[in-house]
Amino acid sequence: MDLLDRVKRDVERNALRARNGVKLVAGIDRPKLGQSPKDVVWARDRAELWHYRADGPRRSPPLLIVFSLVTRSYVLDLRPGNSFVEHLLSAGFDVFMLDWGIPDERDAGNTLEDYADEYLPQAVDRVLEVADAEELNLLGYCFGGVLSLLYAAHHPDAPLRSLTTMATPVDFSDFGVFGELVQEGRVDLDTILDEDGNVPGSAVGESFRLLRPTGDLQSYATLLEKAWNDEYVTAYQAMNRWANDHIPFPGAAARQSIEMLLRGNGFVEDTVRLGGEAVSLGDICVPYMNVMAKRDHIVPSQTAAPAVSLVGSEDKDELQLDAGHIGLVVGRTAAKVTIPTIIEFLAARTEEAVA
Amino acid sequence: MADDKPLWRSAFDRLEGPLGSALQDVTHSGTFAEALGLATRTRAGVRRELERRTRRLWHMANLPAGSDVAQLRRQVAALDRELRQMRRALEQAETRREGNGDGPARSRQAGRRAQRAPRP
Repeated sequence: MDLLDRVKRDVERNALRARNGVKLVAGIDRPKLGQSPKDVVWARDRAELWHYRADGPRRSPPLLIVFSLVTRSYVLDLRPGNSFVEHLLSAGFDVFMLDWGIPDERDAGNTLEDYADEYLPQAVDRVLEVADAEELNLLGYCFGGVLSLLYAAHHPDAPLRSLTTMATPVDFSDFGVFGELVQEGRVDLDTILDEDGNVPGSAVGESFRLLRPTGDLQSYATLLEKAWNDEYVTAYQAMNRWANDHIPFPGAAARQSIEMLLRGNGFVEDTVRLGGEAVSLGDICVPYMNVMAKRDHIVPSQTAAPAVSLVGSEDKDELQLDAGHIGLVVGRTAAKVTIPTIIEFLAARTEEAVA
Repeated sequence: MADDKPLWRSAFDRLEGPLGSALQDVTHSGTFAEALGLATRTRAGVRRELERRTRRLWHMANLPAGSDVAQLRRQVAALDRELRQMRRALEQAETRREGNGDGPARSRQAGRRAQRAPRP
């Protein structure tokens, strides 16, 4: 490229940068997120069960996705063309998603039992009813994976064809910043709780920022560099909105998670109790797959890896992918590697599409 | 293309790399966690004291303070929770009654649970 071409390109790019910069600052032309058509087929308190609409015959049994408690589920259906849900629908799955909504003061007393023993079993029942099926495939993402594990372990007779967890922490002995913060005598949960009795979304966001203190700076630099690229700017707007859209963590569930899972390392030490009953991952007997991301800075792979040895299933597998926490389901690597692999695992546990 | 990277970006990366990892070492340390713990305790203490004083002012004017409203919200939330628990208990009782043959088919999972052999 000669000097003239380079100057011409830079001038064009700077014009585009200026235009996109105005769009970003003014907040106009924001991409719409979570747009796949869906119906709410069950709702309880703040939780909702969504059934994604799809044309043509669907695979059986249905697939239920359980999302995390502290982030918004639309990341799995980010934008048309960059949507985990869309990929699953294209592969013929009958997709349901359990979204926990935005907790308020009424949820401050929610414990892990409320999620794993109440909401989840009811949502599972409703999925079976809507899909007219006898069992389903369950997929838990991040903390949704923790809830799915608790549910599957506490309900060994649950109607599950298979269980998949993605970026799900089970061994909290080396949980980085979070592990350090929750040690006795350090950050006291009571000093973080808001007036509603929940861990505020801002505190959740700040704790994630501690994992990569210069992460925001790095993404601003990349934005400045690529602001001429419309596609990049749209993707940035979508991801940035999600990354700053944290929701409160119900206080009682946070306390229980810290005491039982983080400090007590409950899954590994086999000391988890729900409703006064011992819950062991060894009781999970359904086909299981653990999906981990090598570059996951939120749930490092050493935190997620022991799941496959702790789960009692004979048919179990693990998949470690060269991606980050959210790169497992969003972006090019996800579309090319992660999602097809997950689809392959799930497809082997479903029957071909039926009319 | 690698050579497309602007000079400022290369300079930024050279600076951000070591700075980022140094900061990461700090935020991942026990000392930082202790300092953060102290900061959150102090902030909570200041917030409590401020709230106590402003509440007194509002009460002098015979007006409810924000903390009174928050207290009411918590009480309503506690009532809401009790109602939820009662609703669940009722649903479970209904499921049990239906399971005894007094009503329509019970929930799929409940049905499965009944079929399952007792665990040792």
